Amino acid sequence: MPTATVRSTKKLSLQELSYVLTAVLFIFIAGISVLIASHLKSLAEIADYSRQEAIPRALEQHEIASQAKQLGLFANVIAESDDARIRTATLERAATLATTLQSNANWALTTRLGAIARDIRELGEMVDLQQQHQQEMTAQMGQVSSLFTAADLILSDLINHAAADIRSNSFPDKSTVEYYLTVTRLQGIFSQLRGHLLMLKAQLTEEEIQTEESFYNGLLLLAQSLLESAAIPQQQNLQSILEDFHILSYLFKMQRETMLLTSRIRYQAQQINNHVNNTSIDITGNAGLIASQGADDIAARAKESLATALFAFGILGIIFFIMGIALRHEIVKPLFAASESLKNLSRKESIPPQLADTDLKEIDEINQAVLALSNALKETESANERLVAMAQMKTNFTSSVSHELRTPLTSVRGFIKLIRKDLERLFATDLALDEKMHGRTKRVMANLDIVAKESERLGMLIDDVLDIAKIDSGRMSWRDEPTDLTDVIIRTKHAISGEFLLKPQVKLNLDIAKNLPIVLLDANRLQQVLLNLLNNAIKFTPEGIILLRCWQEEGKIFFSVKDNGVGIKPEDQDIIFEKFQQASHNADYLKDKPKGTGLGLAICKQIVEHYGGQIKVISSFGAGSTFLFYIPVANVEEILATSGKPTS
Amino acid sequence: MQKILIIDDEAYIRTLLEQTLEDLQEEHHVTLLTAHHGLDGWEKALSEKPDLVFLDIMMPEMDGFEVCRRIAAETTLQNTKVVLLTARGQEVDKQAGLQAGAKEYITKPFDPDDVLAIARRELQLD
Repeated sequence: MPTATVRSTKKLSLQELSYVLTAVLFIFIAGISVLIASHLKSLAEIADYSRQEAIPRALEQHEIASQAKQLGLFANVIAESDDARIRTATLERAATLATTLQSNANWALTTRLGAIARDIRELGEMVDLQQQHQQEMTAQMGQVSSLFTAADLILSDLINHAAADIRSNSFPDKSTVEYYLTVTRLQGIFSQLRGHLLMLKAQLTEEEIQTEESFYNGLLLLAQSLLESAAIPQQQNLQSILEDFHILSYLFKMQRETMLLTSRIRYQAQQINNHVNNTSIDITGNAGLIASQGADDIAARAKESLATALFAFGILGIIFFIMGIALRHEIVKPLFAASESLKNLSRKESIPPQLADTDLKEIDEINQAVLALSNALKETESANERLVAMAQMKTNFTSSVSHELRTPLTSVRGFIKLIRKDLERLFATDLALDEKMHGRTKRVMANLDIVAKESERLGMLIDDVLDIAKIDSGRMSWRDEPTDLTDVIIRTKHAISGEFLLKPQVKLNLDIAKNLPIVLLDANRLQQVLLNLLNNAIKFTPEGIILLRCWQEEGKIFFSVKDNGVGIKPEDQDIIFEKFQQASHNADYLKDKPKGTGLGLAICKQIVEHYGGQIKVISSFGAGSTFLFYIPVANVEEILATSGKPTS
Repeated sequence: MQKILIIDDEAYIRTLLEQTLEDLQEEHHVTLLTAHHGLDGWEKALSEKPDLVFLDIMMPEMDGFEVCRRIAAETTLQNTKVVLLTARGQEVDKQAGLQAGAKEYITKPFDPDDVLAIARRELQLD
């Protein structure tokens, strides 16, 4: 199956790339950090300036604005107070305050504060003038009041005389009556004039002043015409008084000027208050400007910092976005594909690795490693398949060989027996056989026995070869079942009894311990080991006793086969358990070379070691051998109580 | 009259078994039949209804296990007993054979006297 490949082009090193990217990012972040730090430093400086200078100045300006408002209050006091001392004191205080404020204000405010101070002085002058007018008016009105008093005295006297004349004369004359009426009317006119004079003390409008002036002038003309039309005593005095009443026009003028002054004073005070308010607003505004200037600088610098930070983060974001795309394309996607391929390989799914191209050397190396692993696994699978096929072939071969070897052997052994049977029948019924034929018949039977024995030996050899082949390939089947060890030994003795019958000079004794456990193992394989050892013992013992023992000791089940046969040379004791190795033939003790393949002990060793035991030989050349092996009880799972069978 | 069917692809084995069992032919009039592969054996089993079958395992056309299973499943052959002939190296075959319905097994190379003893026992002859 064709394997996947990745195009081979020049690759970037991820390690170098990571160094470069780290350096670039470090420089970029360092630069942005320095820039933002400088912004923050200037922000701190501006904040310090605001805290140490701008805000105190703003507060100072605010204080000036509050104090400037006092000038308005002073102006109101000056405008409304009747007490000249109060007005003077207030004026001085206003002037002092204005001077103080001017010294702390900027040039523009200094000019305005100067103008306010000047307005306040003008206000003071106007108020003073107004007071002068009022004083003068009061004085004049006093004079006028005196005139009225004088006129009233004169007229009262004249009225009294006229009244006396009229009362004294029952029939007063016309001139007296006219005189009396004229004087009475004059008194009435003066009384009205006097009464209206009080009106001048009030705050009159221009229209009211004109009305009063007209009224006064009208009354004065009437009084003048009365005086001129009547001949009355004191006419000249009254005339003189009447002429003095022209002072009233001056009073009206004064009244008008006072009224005008009052308006101007009010206007001036209002103007001063307006100026003060505006100035105060301007000062407050100036304070706000000062305060806000710092805040504006901070805000501007903060905006710059924010813009710088946003720009930097924007650039960083673009960089990381590009890096993310590159990371995904060059690293994540290939690694994910490699991971999926590895998962498929671990699950042994026959899906070819689907890898993603990358320009990075290290990731490409991972891809190459995955491909190499996939190819190696494929080769391993192929090798496995070949091994499985070979093992199967070996099993089939073993089975086939087993079958093919045993089948002709079956024929050989079977027909030998049938031939022997037929010959026995044949020669038994033929009573005419002479001695020579009898001898020949015996020889034929003996030869058949040899053929039978040899075919049996061939069968055993085939069994051994097949057993060792199975053990080597791990295909030996083990039928572990609860096994009574004493039974196995007894059966073994029966199985080999034929050999002992053929060699009566060798005897077999058993020594089996009581209370041997029932264990889980393959009884046939145990018997095979014991038969091999006993067969060897018979082969190598010309005459004597062979002792088969079995006992339990220190958690192990021991078996031993002891003979007093030919023994084994020391150099052979190391090799007799190897395949196809036999002890060297000792012609002093044995006439015939013992027959065997050299596999029996190797098979015994494999069976014993399968159960975790060990086998060894203790021997002296010429003095016999003891083959000893044990099987750990723990390995064969003692499952029942001991059997309690007899020892032999 | 009882019948014994011998199914084995080896001619010599068939001859060996025939000669081994010919005493039964003479003494008890047992009929001996042979087949030379599994399919032939199955067909003869169906047609002849033997009382006892000696059956090899490794054969062409149809192996012994399949023949054994078919005999065990065939209602007309419920009384037929099957004896498997196994090579010693095929221990697992013994188990498989018994599970397939075989009555007994003997391993090659076998003793003809053992074959005769089994036949006498299964056919209940003296």
